[in-house]
Order: sequence, then C-alpha cells, then structure tokens
Amino acid sequence: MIKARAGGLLFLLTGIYGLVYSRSLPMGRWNEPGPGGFPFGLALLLVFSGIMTIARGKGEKEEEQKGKGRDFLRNLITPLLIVLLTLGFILSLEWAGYVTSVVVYLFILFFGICRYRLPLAAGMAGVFGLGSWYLFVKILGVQLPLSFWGL
Amino acid sequence: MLKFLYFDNTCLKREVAMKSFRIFGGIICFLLGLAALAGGAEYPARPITLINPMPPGGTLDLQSRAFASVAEKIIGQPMVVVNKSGATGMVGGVAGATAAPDGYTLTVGSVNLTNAIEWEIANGRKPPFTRHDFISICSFTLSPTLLIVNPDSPWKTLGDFLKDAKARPGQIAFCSGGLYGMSHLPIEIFARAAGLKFRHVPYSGGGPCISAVVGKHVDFAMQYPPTSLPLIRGGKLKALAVVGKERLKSAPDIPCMKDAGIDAEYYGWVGIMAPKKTPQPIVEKLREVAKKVCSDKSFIDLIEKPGDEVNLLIGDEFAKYWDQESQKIGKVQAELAKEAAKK
Amino acid sequence: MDVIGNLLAGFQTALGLHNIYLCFIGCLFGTMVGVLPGIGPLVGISLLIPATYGIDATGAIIMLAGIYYGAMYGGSTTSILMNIPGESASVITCVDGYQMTQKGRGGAALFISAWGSFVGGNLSILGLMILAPLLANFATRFGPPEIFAVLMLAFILLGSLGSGSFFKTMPMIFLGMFLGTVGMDPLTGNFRFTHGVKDLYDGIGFVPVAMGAFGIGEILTVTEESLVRVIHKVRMRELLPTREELRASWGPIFRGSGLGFLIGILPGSAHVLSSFVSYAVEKKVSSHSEEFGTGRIEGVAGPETANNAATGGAMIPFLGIGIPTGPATAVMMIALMIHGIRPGPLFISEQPQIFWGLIASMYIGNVILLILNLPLVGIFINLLRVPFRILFPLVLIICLVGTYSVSSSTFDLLILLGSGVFGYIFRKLKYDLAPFILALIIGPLLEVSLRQSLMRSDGSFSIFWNSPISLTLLGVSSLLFVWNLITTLKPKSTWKKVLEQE
Repeated sequence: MIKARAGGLLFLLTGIYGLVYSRSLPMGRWNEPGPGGFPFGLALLLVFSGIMTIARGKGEKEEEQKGKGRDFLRNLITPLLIVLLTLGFILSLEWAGYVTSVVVYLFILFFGICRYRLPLAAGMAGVFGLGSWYLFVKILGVQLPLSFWGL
Repeated sequence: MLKFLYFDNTCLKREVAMKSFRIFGGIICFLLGLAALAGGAEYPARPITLINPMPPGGTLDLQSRAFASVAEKIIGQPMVVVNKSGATGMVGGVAGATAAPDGYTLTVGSVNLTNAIEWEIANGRKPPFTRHDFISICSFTLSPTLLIVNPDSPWKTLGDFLKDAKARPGQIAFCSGGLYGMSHLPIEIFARAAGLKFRHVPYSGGGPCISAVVGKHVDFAMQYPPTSLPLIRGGKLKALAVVGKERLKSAPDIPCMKDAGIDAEYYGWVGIMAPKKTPQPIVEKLREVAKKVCSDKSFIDLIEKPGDEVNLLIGDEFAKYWDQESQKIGKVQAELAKEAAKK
Repeated sequence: MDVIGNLLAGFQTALGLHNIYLCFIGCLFGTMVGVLPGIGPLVGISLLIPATYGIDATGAIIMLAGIYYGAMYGGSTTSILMNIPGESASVITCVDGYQMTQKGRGGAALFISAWGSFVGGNLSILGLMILAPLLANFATRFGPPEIFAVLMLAFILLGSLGSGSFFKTMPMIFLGMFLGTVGMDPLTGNFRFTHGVKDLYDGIGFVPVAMGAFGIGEILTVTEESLVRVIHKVRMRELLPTREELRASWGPIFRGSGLGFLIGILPGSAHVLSSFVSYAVEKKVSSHSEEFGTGRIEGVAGPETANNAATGGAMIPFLGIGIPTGPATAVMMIALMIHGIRPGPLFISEQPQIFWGLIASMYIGNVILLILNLPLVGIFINLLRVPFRILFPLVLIICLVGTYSVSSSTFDLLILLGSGVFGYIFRKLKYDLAPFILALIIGPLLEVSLRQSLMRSDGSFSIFWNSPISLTLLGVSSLLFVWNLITTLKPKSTWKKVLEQE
C-alpha cells in the first residue's frame, strides 16, 4: 500500500514542480506554440495520474510485511554504500585522473564491500583498473582524464 | 575477459602501435620537457590537445581532424582532437578559454561560437567567454551559404523571388538547421538587407532542413555548398543565389547577392585559437605551422573534396575579420532578441 | 532490370581481398563498440574516419558501414545478459531478454537475436537494392505533420508496452516525456527547467539515464539481498534455442524485418522506433501476450530484427538522394565526402561501383557478423559465470566509462548515478522503466514536430488532415487508443463471455 502511494506521490510532486515552473515560460500563440505549453500539459497529466494512483492504491492487496524496520534498513546499506562510493569516484575523476580513481574505487569496492582479502582486492583492483584503461584508451580510443603521473 | 578482445589485424594494430608509440614517446618527451623546462625547451615538446566544442561527426570535427593529422607531421608531436560538446559550443569554449596558456591546449573555433557569444550578449547575459579571451592563430575556411529552393517552385531567378517576397510579406516560409545558428542568421541578414519578412520554422540540423526543401514542406532555406551542391546537380534543389560577395568557384553560374545589389554576406569559418595569455613566440610558431598546413596538398584535398574551399586568414587578418563579423552578427542578434522578448 | 548484373559486379568488387578485410575490421570494431554500452556506432565511425584517409572510397564506406550494422548486432548482448541497454535501439530487448537470462535461456536469446539480425539485415539490404531509387523520395515526403502522426502512433503503442495496466504505464510515459523537455528548447531558445546549470542546456541525455536506470538500478537491487548470486549452470544444449522457441521466432523475425525496413526510411530515431514498434506489434499479435515481460522469445526476436532492418532502410535516403536521416548516416556521408564522393540523387547512377560494391559487402558483412556472433554467445554466457562479486564492479566501470565516452562530462556521470537510484526505487515500486526511457526519447520529438507543424500552418490544424499520410496514421492511432481504453477498462473475461454466448 505504501509502495503504490509512494509512486503516486512522486508523480504528483513532479507534476506540481512542472506546473509551477512552466508557468514562467512563454506559452505562445496557436501559430507559434511556446516552450511552456507541452511541459504544462504534461505536468497536469502527472498531477492527475499521481492523484489517481494514490487513490487507487487503497484497493490493492496489502503486501507481506517482509520483516520491515530493521531488516529493511539493513538491506539498504550495501546499495547506499555503493552509491556513495560511486559518487566519490565521479567527483574525483577529473581531479585525480582516470587510472588513479578507478584503481582506488575498485579497491574499496573489492575490499570493503565484496570482502576480499587485502592483497587480493588490491591485486584485482590494479589488474582491472589498468586493464580497463588499456581497453578503453588504447584499443577504443576513448578520451579519459589524465592522472597527474602521466597516464 | 581481456583475452577475447585481443584481435590481430594490421590496420588497427598499426594504429594501436602508433598510438602507443606516440603516447610512449609523448611521455618521454614530457619527462624530458619537464627536465628541460628550466632551460626553456623547444615548443612543442609534448602532444597538443585541440578542443572541439561541437559534437563528433560534424563538419567541424572533420576539418579539425584533417588539420590535426597534417599538422602532426609538421610539428613532430601528436595533435589530438578532443570533443567537449554542450550548449552550442559554450562548454568547449569555456574549457579552451580557461586552459593553461602554454600552447598545449588549443581550441577549434567556428562561426558557431560568434553566433552563441553574440546571442548571449544580445540577451543581456554576460557570455562565459568572448573572442577577446582567445588569440587567433588562423582560420582556414570561409564558406558562404546558398539560397536553395525546390525546383518546382514558381521562382526562376532571385529577382522573381524578391518580387514575390515583397508582395506577400510573412507568408513565405523557410527552415533553418537551428535557431540563431549558422543557417538561420544568413537568412535574417538577407531579409533585413532586402527589407523582407518571412516565416521561420526551425529544424534541428542541416540534413532535415534540406529534406524539408526537397519535400516541399517549406519554401526555401540557406545551406552550405558541400551538402547542397550534390542535390542541385541531381535536380532535387535549385540555388537562387550565393550569400556572399563572390560567386563559387565550383558553381559559377549561381549569381551572388552582390550582383543583385543586396548587401548580404555570411560566412561559415573554421579556425584554431589559443588562450589569451599564450606567449608570443609560441603563437608565431603556431601561425607558421598553420601556414604550412594550409599549403599542404593533402590538407587542401581533405577540405576541398567534400566541396569546401581553403581560405587562409592568419593571425591579425583573422582577428580583424572576427571583429567585423562579431559586430555584424551582434547587430542582427540584438534585433532578434528584441523581437523574441516582445512575444 | 539490371539488378542482377550490377549485383554480380558488386560482388566482384566486394570479394576482393582488400575489401573483405576492411569489411571484417568494420564488423569486428562495430561489434565491440556495440557490446560496450554507451559507445555507439556514431563514436565508432567517427573514430575510424582518420584510418580511412589512406584507403579508397569504396573500401572506406564498406568499413564504416560494417561498423554501423555491426553495432546493431552487438547492442543486444549487454541488454540481454546484464539488463544494460547498449544504445537506444536495445532498450526494449532488455525487458524480455534479461528475463530469459534469469531463466537460463540467455544463450538462446543471444542466438535468436543474432539470427534475427542476420535475416532482418539481409532482407532490408534486398529492399535497399531493389527499391532505393523509388523509395528515396518517400523519406522527403515526411514533414513535421507526418512525423507527428508517426510519433503519435508510436506513443500509443508505447502505452501497451508495460507489463502492468495502462494506468500504471502512462504516468511513467508522462514522466519520461516531461524529463525530455529539460534543456534548451530547439524552437525558441528558451531554457526549460535548467535553473542555470550549464550542463543541463542540452537536456538529460538518454545514455546516462538508460544505463543508470537499467544497469545500476539492477546492481543496486541485487546487492540489497546478498552479494552471492546463484547463476543457473549453463549446459551446451541450453545455448541453443529449443524447437518451440525457433518456431515462435519466425513470425516476429519476418514482421520485424518489414517493419524495421519501412520505419528505417523515416527521418529521426528510426532504430528506436522500429525496435519498440516491433515489440508492441508482437505483443498484440501473440496469443501469449500476458507473458511478455517475463521472457518471451518473441520480445527479443522482433525488436532485434527490426533494428537491424532499420539500417538498410536508413541507408535509402542517404544513398538514394543524398540526405542523411540520422547521425550515423550523416557521419558516413562526411566520410564519403572526404574521399571526394558527394552523395546526391545521381550517386547510384554515377558511382555504381561504390553503390553495388557496398550492397554486396553488406551481404558479406552480415554473414561475417553471424559467424562472429554465434561463437561469441558461448563466450559471453560463460562471462556470466564470473562471480557476481567480481562482475558488478566491472559493470559499474563499464557504465561509467561508457557514459563519459559520449560526452566527457562529469555531470552526465551524476545523472547516471541519479538514474541508478531512481531506477532502483521504481523497480521496488514495481513500475516499468522501458516506457519511461523510450518516452524520454520520443517525447521531445513529438513536441517539436507538433509545434513545427503549427508554425508552418500559421496555427491551423488542417495541416494534419490535408496530408494523406498524416491523416491515415492519426486515424490508426485514434483507433488504437480507443481499443486500448476498451480492453483496459473492460476485463478480458467479460469479452470472452460475450463472444462465447454468440
């Protein structure tokens, strides 16, 4: 029940955001439709669907409460950590260069999240990091940021 | 996982080998250069990056890669084109303007940049960079547009077209490859010079624009010779005029605007720029290189075969041209901005 | 007609050792580029253009065309195996393809995908060969009103793609279309919903959103439970499709070829459109339509065939009249221009050796790709046996680099991550992601064509029913929409009862 309503809420919120911000765009005339018309219409539809989804959410079966609360939060830790780590990688990419960032990122993933032993994690991070650099930069010619030590 | 990706074929192996050799050589040169910096090493001592502010695959990409491939041989260092596209050239332009002024990061400029900069100014916004943030090395093409119509349209000459346009203002429709871009502005300049009014339907890209004229969805457009001449020859399009002060070498039977007495000119140019504070000796060296590239037969072929022409403007000539062009374009953009604000 | 004669001459050119070699390189590079998500055929072709400087024009276009359709073969690999769409044309393959992998039928899916691509590719080349001069003009008859009508039809079909009810899919479509409006409006230059962020000027790209929502979303969902994933042990026999699967695929493959070819001629996102239109058609035509979304082979065979057939169709306006209708053909045109060939309406008659050499090499290329891809199925399936704990960081890196390779923008990487979270959340809420992503692509196109039509006609809607093409397509769309409404509101059982009573 919560799930259905959460979805509806998201649509509703996006719709409201759209309504608010598309009013500031010129609507134009019929022979020169402005940029505001389409988003405004879509926002309206989103608000409408959001309300309908929330309203209909009442009728759906109650899903099994799979040990919510602590379990639910515990399950979220790993994905959350991965998201945070990836964020760190993204932010350090242009600053530290690709090879440095990717090796550190992989290392933390392998060691911290996948729980491999330190030397194994470091080794894999090194191999895959450098290997990916070779594949992308040398073979495929993709341009990746240079680290300060040359690669 | 990497094993199955290993393949052997001479062409790419050569390229990979050459790339590795170059990068390896580049690293050695870099290290040597570092060591020699105190003593003032010879420029260029390591690979040069050429930032292309447009997405890959366009004419700009092509011509800049052509330039890079020929320049490499002359300077003995790799010249690598990097695409940094976004916001009609703004993202790449900013990257180029704020790069270290050591001559190792250059930018590919084009009339698109002028269009975008002047549009920002016309709207009262401060552009993230202007032409004054760059030192012009050279520009190597200067292409006018062609006024193209469908062969079935009632206008046989430019004169017919002008008469009809005066008689029905605001009814003849044209398309452009992009709003306030290099196929829209020539039309605005032309319209103001001849005192005419048209209806504008913006498209995205030159291809769809040409398709619209062929398919009779709009009445006319202005496009560049490389993409329109083949269709003119094939009878799918007709060109009424060249928007410039000279006729085309490759199609001398198309009259130019000057012949009809209309002062409308617009040229698409592609050139190389360096950041503002680049030291003069490096700038001179780059200009020398540019001169050599533009007289190199293989480069000329790469530009002229698709249908363009090599027109070299070096250093100060180029800067002067850019100034004049910015003024002209700035004026038109200002008027367009005013009209847009009214709506 | 002199087609056979010309074709034989073409084969003579194409079978030259030099040209076969170039064709092979193109296909190989194309497959690699297609398999790695993010890096699409456009980038691949642009990268290899400098390598063509020293080769003759025929060889150059053979190699570049090889990259183009090679990428279509490879694009389905990551979609089926890892639920990461390699490019827009493979989004819809993720839906049933990945489900098949979960059930252990991934090998069969890859096999049918390669096979369908082969048939679709060949049939579309046949069409290209025979109909190019006739159909070349057809593409130019599609102006804004006609394109709007096509996209309207596609949009209605999009609604039927979801596994849930109409009402559950529509909000996702609206959301996708709404996100598609972010960025600079191409028709007026206004910035919409960018709040001054320069990286948003060009809008929210498809690549980061698709890879994030599907790929990263999938990884986040799985790591929630545990890091150990039971992969069904794959036996050799399971790599091949069962007889039943093969039989079920023939229909979608033939229908997909025709659809893909026709849609490919149209300007715009031909590959995307053809793939999901084919999926929607298969779903409607099938007697097992409720099972779509859980791993029906038709949901893989149809779209994959269609997107390969679209390459043949897309070459028609390019080769027949000199107007490229998509970015890949535009780049190929530039490549030809470097070699002094200027494609135009006279191209086929003035440069027959290039045209027919290309046609012949496309047939050869399809064969090469089939030979390349079939054994690769086994290799790829074995890749899945790599423990998930090692696999998922690598997948993350592939997604990140894939996105970065398209635009060199850190902001796009943030969008990638954001979409990952978004995909994860919506997956938990049991919403379909495919319609959302496809709406992101066609929404802006729909809007632009509507506004262009109105600009052209000075505000009059008559422009839509004055054109026969537009009128027909809009009529079909309305019928479909009404039909959708009826079938959603009235449960199927009621209809059955009604029919049984008669």
